Amino acid sequence: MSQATLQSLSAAAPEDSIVSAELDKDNTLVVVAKKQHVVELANTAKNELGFNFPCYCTCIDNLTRTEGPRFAMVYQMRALERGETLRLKIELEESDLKMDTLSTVWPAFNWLERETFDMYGVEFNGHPDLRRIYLYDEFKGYPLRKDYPKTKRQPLARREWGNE
Amino acid sequence: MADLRTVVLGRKDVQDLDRDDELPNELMTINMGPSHPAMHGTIRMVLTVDGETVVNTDIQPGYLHRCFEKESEHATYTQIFPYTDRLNYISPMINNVGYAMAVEKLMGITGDIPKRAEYIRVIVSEISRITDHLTCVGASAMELGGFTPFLYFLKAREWFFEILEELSGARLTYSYVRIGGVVKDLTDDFADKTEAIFQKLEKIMVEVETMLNKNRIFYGRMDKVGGYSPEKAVAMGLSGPCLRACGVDYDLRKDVPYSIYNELDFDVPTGTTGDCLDRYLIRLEEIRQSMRMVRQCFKQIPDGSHIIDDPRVAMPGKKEAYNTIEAMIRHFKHVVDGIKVPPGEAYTAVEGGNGELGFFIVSNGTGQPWKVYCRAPSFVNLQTVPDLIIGGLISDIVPIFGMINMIGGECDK
Repeated sequence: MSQATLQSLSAAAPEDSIVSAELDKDNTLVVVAKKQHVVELANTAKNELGFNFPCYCTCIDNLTRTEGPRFAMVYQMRALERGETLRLKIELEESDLKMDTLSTVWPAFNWLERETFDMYGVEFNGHPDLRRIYLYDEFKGYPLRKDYPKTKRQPLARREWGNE
Repeated sequence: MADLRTVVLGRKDVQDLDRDDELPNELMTINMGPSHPAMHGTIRMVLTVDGETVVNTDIQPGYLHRCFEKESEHATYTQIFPYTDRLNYISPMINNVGYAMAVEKLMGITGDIPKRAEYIRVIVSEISRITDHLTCVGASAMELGGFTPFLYFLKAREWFFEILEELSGARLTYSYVRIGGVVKDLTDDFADKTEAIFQKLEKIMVEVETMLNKNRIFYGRMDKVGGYSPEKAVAMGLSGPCLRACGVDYDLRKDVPYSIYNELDFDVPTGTTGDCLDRYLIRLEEIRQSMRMVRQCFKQIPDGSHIIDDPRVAMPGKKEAYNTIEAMIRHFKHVVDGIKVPPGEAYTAVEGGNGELGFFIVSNGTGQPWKVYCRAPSFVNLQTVPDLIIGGLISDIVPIFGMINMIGGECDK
């Protein structure tokens, strides 16, 4: 069943938007997409293939990887009627850590993308409200990146006294 | 002393009251939280209100952020269990089970877990679900002025905590589940004690329902408050009792059966409008269904081992570890290096007390995970709160927020 979905996704996807697509061990459809056409691809997955339920999104920091981009965004969706899952991965270079938001397609990603921005510093173009969500605005750095030391401490709030 | 009417209404004369121009008003911004007596959980809501109507809101979680993911990246796979206890601290067993299942999937041993361990996991998960729902319903009733149901339900919850304490050694932070099974077998009289508590709970539930269901204040404040459409609920990723209250028949235990849920006979209650009353009724029914499941489990539970018999996964017993050199080395390697998990990534979701609780783990082949992401149902569900409260009254926030049942530890991670 998932094999059929894989084929129909490959057929319906906009040209040149998919880098690779495969089924992993537990029948999750893992699609690595190019970031230029990710919104069209997401719309196809939602409207034509029925992946209507957003599960989560997060980012993986592959700091130690020698080749390929450092970061990878992961979006996971489920088709409630069929119980199939789709994991959409978008690889991002550290120098250009931006991609189009998918919160326009699945509104649940609004806060989840804010969380990713908060923890990894990925910027989402067209996001309605891109602010930090767990940490405070004055926080410097992105704590879940692998090069942020675990023991690093910051003052709870930082204000520029006397400049105003 | 000035005339009271003059002061309050700002009119000079009583005749002025007949003039139909309205009193001047302007929008006001007020803070609700982070510590508010009518809301359980630390969360700040910045409300913009027009009189008593909420016009806009900005919800700011994060006051309980304890770096779950960062800490997990620096711990061995077994050391993460205590952290998961502290996510949803009123149903920690479900967190334990969800996390263990994700690691097991990564190791490819999901099918090898002994049947008895799976049954024990389901039993403790369902008892945890009961405590979760009892807390949610009891606390919400208290916030709406019904103090007795709160005391009744918290007392019942304490009984469950006591038997789980007997089982695991801790009242709240159990760390009872292990990769490959559970840490020790059920106690001898666990089934009898649970059954006795169930019988007491059934009586209490009847009493509480009599107090609440037709109570004019409770009904009036819950009914038609916070309704949500099924399409919107799915698009917003709402899950758990709140999603089912909207009329979407979706339960991971039924639709993506994991563990031994396909061997159990249970119903999934659904609502129609998704308002607070539906959410409340569904939680009560789920308590009954959970009791039904636990009773079936006690009838069907097979004998056998409570943890997988695989030296790479399970810790050796104390007797072996103290008496043989091989087991002692194994014990040392388990504690210091951790369980070796092959490289890869896996996501598993279980039906938590509040909805889909998932763990996404990336492994690089060492004893410590490269990344552990927790899909916290409270966090995703909380996102719908602005939709629910905008346009309503300030007093409606209390039941809506109570029925979303945000747990600070889980939402803020």
